Amino acid sequence: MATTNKIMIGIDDQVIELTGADKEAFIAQHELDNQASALLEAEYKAKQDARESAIKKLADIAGLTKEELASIL
Amino acid sequence: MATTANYSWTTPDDSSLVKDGASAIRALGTAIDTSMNTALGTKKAGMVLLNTTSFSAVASQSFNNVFSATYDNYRIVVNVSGNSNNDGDQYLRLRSSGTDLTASSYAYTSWIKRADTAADVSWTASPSTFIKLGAQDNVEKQGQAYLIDIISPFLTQWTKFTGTIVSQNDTSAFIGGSVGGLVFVTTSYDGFTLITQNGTFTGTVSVYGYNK
Repeated sequence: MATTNKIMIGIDDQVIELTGADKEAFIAQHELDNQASALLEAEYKAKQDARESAIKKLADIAGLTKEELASIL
Repeated sequence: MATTANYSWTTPDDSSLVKDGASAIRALGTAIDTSMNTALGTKKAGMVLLNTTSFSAVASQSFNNVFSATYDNYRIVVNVSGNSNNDGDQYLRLRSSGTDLTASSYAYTSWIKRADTAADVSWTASPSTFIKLGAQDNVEKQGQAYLIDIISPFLTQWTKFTGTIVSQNDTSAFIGGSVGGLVFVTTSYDGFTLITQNGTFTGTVSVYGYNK
């Protein structure tokens, strides 16, 4: 989130533009939030890649297509 | 005597005498009271709409003073009708006296089925500084929806969350799932904030209280 962009937030039925320290604090917190979220997603992708790899190896051994093996797992 | 269409409550005819009005109102009131008692007893409506707020093109949307001692448990219905950017999942935080709880006091787990992959998604974040409502990765701009029950946010107990989610990813594949979470501190909270992951979001949120 670029600091030059306006940051508008809603509080109940009001819309407020963040400025100064409030804006910087929002950006800093948002970056932390997204880093935590990205970490979770990276862990998931690593698990998914490992699973794909294992399915491929097992499929080769069993003489099945990857899709056939995945359908029974 | 005329009667009402559904419950056959007796009402005065147009030609009825004004002097009989008190009696007629009393008879009608008694009939309504009897019908209501037969249908509901002393039960009240199960859910009460407390607040509906629409918002547009904001990075976060906060709701103050929606939780109170009147209800212990709440349902929030979130319709995100659009995101300015992809990867637009939402984070949820509790809020007290106008300030979000940003400490590592949250824990949640999600189970998500993505139509574009054979593998389901599940993950757990504990502790966390928020509860992530969305599905994983690349939510398309059309938005998403959540039904979330929030248990005991105002009580000085842990707050519990259960919810269901639906959205799409970049390739328009359907994503559905559920999320469960906790806030493992006993502070009383009177509101919550939704924060979009990227850019801004637009939508409507309704908050309902479950009658005790």
